[in-house]
Amino acid sequence: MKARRRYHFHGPGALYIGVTLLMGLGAVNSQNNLLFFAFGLALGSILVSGFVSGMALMNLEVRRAPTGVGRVGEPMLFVYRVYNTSRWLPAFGLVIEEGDGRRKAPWRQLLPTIQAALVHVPSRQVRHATAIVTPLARGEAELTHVRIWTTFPFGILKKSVTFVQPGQTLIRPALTPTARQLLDQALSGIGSTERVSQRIGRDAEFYGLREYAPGDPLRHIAWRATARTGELVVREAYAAVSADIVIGLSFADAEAPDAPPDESDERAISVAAGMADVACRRGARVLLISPVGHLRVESRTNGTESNAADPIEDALARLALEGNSSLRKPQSVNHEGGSLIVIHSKSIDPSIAPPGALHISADRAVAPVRPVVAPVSS
Amino acid sequence: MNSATDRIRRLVYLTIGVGVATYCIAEGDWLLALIALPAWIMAWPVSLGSQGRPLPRGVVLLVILTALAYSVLRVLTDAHDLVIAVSRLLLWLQIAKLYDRWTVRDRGVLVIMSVFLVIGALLTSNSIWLGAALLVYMPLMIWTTLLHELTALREVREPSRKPVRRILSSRRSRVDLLKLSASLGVLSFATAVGIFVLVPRGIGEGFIGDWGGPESMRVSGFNDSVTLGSAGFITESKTPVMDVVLLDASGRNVGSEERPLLLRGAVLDLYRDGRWTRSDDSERRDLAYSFAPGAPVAFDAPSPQVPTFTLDITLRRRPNDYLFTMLRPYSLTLERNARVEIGQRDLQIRAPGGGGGLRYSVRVQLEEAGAPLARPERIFQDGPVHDLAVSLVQDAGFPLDPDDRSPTDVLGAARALVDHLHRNYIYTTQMNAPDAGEDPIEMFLFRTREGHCEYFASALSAMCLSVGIDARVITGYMAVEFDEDSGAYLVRESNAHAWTEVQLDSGQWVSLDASPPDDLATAHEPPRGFAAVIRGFMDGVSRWWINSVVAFNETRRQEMVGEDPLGIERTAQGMLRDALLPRQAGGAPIIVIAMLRGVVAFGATAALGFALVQLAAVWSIVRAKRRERAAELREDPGAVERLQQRGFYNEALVALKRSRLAKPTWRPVKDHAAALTRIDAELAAAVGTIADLYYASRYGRRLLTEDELRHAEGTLSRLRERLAEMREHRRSRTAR
Repeated sequence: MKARRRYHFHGPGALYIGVTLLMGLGAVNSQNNLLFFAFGLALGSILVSGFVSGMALMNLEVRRAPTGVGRVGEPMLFVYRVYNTSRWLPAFGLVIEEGDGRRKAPWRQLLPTIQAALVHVPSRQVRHATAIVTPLARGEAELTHVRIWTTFPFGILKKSVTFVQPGQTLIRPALTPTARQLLDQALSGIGSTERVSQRIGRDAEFYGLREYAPGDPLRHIAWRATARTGELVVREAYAAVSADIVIGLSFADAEAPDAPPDESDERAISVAAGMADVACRRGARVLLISPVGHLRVESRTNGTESNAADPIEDALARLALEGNSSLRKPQSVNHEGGSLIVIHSKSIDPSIAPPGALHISADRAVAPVRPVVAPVSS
Repeated sequence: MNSATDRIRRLVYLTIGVGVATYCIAEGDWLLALIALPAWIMAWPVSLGSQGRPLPRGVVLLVILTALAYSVLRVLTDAHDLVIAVSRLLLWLQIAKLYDRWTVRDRGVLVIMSVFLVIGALLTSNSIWLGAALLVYMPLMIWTTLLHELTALREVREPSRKPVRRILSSRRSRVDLLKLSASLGVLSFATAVGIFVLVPRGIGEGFIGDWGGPESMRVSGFNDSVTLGSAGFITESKTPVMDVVLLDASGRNVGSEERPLLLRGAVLDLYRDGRWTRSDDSERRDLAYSFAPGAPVAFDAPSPQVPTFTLDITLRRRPNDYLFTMLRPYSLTLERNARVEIGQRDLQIRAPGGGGGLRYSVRVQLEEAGAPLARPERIFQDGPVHDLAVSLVQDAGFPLDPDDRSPTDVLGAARALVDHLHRNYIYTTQMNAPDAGEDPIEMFLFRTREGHCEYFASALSAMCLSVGIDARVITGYMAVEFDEDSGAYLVRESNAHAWTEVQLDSGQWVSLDASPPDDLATAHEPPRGFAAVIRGFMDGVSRWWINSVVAFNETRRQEMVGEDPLGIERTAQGMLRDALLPRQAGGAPIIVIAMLRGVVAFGATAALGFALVQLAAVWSIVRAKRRERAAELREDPGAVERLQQRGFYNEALVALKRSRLAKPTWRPVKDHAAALTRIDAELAAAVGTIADLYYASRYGRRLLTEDELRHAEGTLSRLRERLAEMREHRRSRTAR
C-alpha cells in the first residue's frame, strides 16, 4: 500500500528558494531583464524539480525482499525491488530506506539506519537496491514501512513516498569468537566422562590453514596456498565429536538479585550461541536449557551441520531478559545424559548444576582474555 | 583516474572555468581574466590531475583571507561596488578551493558558488557576450549538477561499494539522463520565458534603492568633465553604445550617412586649471521630473515655426546617468519609471541610478532658437589666448565690443575662430602633457598645435569667452554610422566627441565644431572591408539582443501578450502605481517606505523570535541531556570511568582522519571497518578490534580489563604504524 507523496523542506532547498526570491526582488527593483530571466529560470527549476521528480516517485513500486536472519556484528543484506510503472519517465537518484521517516521505530534498537541507493530506474523496468547493515543487538525486528525519497533533480526539494510493508527479521546473537577454544577446553575438561574423537580428513569441514609440522600427512598439504606463501601449509579441519552436549544458561546473580539485564548477559548468550554452533558443526547433538524463559531447545538433527544450531540460535535471539523478575534468581540447571556445560553470565554458582557439570563464566570469556574454564568437582 | 568521481571532478572544474570566464566577460576586466583564467587552468596539473597534489591548507587559507580582505576593503571604499566585491570574492574562493582537497560536499558547494558568481555577472552586465556565455554555461551547469547528484548519491549512501568507472554504466541510463536533462532544460527555459514575458514591467522599480542593475560597463570615450593636459590616447574602441533613429514630424526616417548627429551629454561651462566642469549655478537650476513608462513629459515649449524631429534612442549600455540628445530637446518619453533631472539653463538631461530601461524617445527642434539664457564665466581676459582671439576677430572685421555685435556678428566671429583652428591645427588622438605651470589650452594653441576634439572645443570656447562671446564645451557622441537596413545610427565608444556651443543672442545657442572636419571624418569613419562585414553581423545580433532582451519593456510586453482583456492587470498595475508613486520629497515612495519598515520590523521580530526559540530549544536539549546524564551516572556510576577508558577510540578516529580515512559521522565504526577492508585488510582488522572494545565499553557498559586496555593500546599503535606505512607508500608512489 502506498502512502501519499510528501515534500520536505531541507537546508539546500531553503537556500535556493531564498536566493531565487532575492533575484526576483532585484529584478523588480532594477527592471534588469536578464535578472528577470534568471529569476524565471530559477523559479522554473524549482517547479520542474518538484513536478518531474514527484511524478517519477508516484510511478514507483517498492517491495522489500524477504529478509533472512541477521547476526549481531555481521553484515546483513536488505534487498528492495523497485519497479518503475511509468511508460516513459525514468527515475533517478533514489534512496530507499526502512521506516516512514518520522517516528523512531522499535527496530532501531536492533538495527542501524537501513538505506539503499539506486542511481537509475528506467521506465517499465525493475531494479534491485541493496543495503548492507550490521545489526547492533539481537532480537526480532518488526519492520513496518519502506520509504523512497529523492532530491533529484537539482537537490532543491526532497520528495518522498512511503509504502506500508510489514515484515520481520530475526537478529541472532553474535557468535563468540573464542567459542571453539572454549568448547575444546570444556570437552577436555570433562576428560574421562566424554569420548572425544578427532579426525582430520576430506569429509571433515574445512577450518583453516596452518604451517606444516613434522608428521602431518602429505595429502593434507594445501599446494596452492603453499605456492602462494612459499612455505608448506596444511589444511586443518574441524574435529568431529560424537557426543551429546547440553548447554545450560544461567543469569543468576546472588549478589545483585534485582539487577537489570546487562552486557554480561548478552555475552553469555553469545557464548552459548557460539558453542552450540561449533558443536553442531562438529556433528554433535546440542540441547540448550535455561530456567529463564523455560528454554529447552534441541539442535536440528535432520539438517546440515551448518544449520543444525539454527533452532538454538533462534531461541537465543528471541530470549527476552527485560522484565523477567526471576532473571537473577538462582535456579537449577539440570539434565540427564550428555555433557553439561553451564554458562554463567555473572560469577559461577556451581550449586545450580549437578556434579560433573562444567561451568564457564561468560564475564571473562571474550577475546582477548584467555577463557577461564573451571571444572568443578563434587 | 577514470572513475565516476574523476569524471565529475573534471566536469565541476570545467563548470567553474566557464563560470569564471562568464564573470570576466561581464565585468570586462581583462586584467582579472588574465590572472583568474591561468590560475584556473593551472589548478588541474598542480592539484586536481593525476599527478597533482593539493596545496597545503595554509596557502589556500591565505589566498581566501586575502580575497576576503580585498573585498571588504573594496566595499568600504566604494559601497556601490558591493556586487563586484562579492562576486570577486566568490571567484577567488572557487579558484582557491580548486587547489585544496575536495570532499563530496565541497564539490556541491563549488557548483553553487559558480552559480552565484554567474548571478553576480548578471548583476554586472547585460551585454550580448554575457548572453552567449550563459548559453554555454547553463547546459553545462545543469549537466554537472545532475551528474554530481547521482555520483554523490553513490559516494555517500554506498561508500563501501567498489568505485565505478561511470555512474551511469548502461547506455540506456545515459540516454535517459540526457533526455531528462534536456527536458528539464527546455521546461525551465520555457518557464523562464513565460515569466520574462508575463511579469509586468515598471512596477516596484527602485523601491529598495539603486540595486540590481548592471554596475559596470562605463564607457571610457565619454566623460562628464574634460580634463586637459593629461598624456594618453583617446579610446578607439568600436564597442556599440547606442542606436539612434531620427524621425521627422510625420514619423518618416530622415537619418542618413550624410547627416551626422551631435548627441550632447554633459554641458560644461566652467574652466578651472585645465578642467572643464559644469558650474554650480547650472547645477542649481536643474529641475526633477517624474516619468512613467510611455508618458511624454514636456519641459519646454516648442517654437511653432521650427520643424520638430524625434530621436528614438536605445542605450545599449548605460555609461552613466546622462541621456543623450541633440540640441534643442523639449519633450522626453521614457519606457520605464524614472526621476529625470533637466537643466533649465543648459538642457542637460540626467536620469540618475538603475540599470534596465534603456530606451527613450526625445523630441527636438534642430534650429537653435529659443534655448534658455545662460552667461558662462569669462576667462582668458588677457594673455596670449585673448590676444590671438582679438586679432582673429578684428581681422575678420567684427566688432570687439560685445555690445556692438549682432547675433550674426557673434556667429561670424565664432566661425572666424573656427576657421583659424581648422586651418592651422592638426587633429591627433595622442597627446603629450603640458609643461609645469603651462595651461593646456595655451600649450595647444601656441606650442604643440595638435590635439584631439577636447582641445579644439576647449580652445574655441576659451577664445570665444576671452572676447565676450558666451560659449561652453559639450561632451557627447557624434553619430556618423548609419545603417540603411535598420534605419538607425550606430554609435560606438570611439564616436565620443567634444564640441562647442555658442550663444548668438539671449538664449539662442548654436553648435560649432572646431575639430578639422576631414581629420574628424577619418577618425570617426565607420569600419570597412571584411572586418566591417563581421562587425556588422555582430552589431545586428547585438541590436537584436538589446531590443528583444535587454530593452524589453512594458510596451513590447503588451505588444506580445496583447491588451489585458478583463482589465485585471491594468487595474492591479494602476493600484500599485498609485500606491507606489506618492513620494516624500526626494525620497522613496511613502508606501514603499512604510512597507519596508513593516517588513523589516516583521523580519526582525521573526528573526528574534526564531533565535529565542532556537536558544530555548538548545537550552532544553542541554538541560535534558544533563538530566539524562545525571540519571545515568546515578544508575551507572562507572560511566565516567568507562568514558575515560575509551580514549583509545577517539585517538584511532583522529589517526584515521589525519590519513584521509575519516569515519563519516553517520557510519557505525563497524561498518567503517568493513569499508576499510577494501583499502587494507590489516588496517580494517585493527579498526575492527578497536570497534569491538569500544562497543564492549559503550554499549556493553562494562569496564574494560587491564588486558583489554593493553590490547587496545597495542592495536592503536599497530593502526598508527600501518597508517604511517600507507602514507609512506603513497608518497613514494607519487614521487615515482
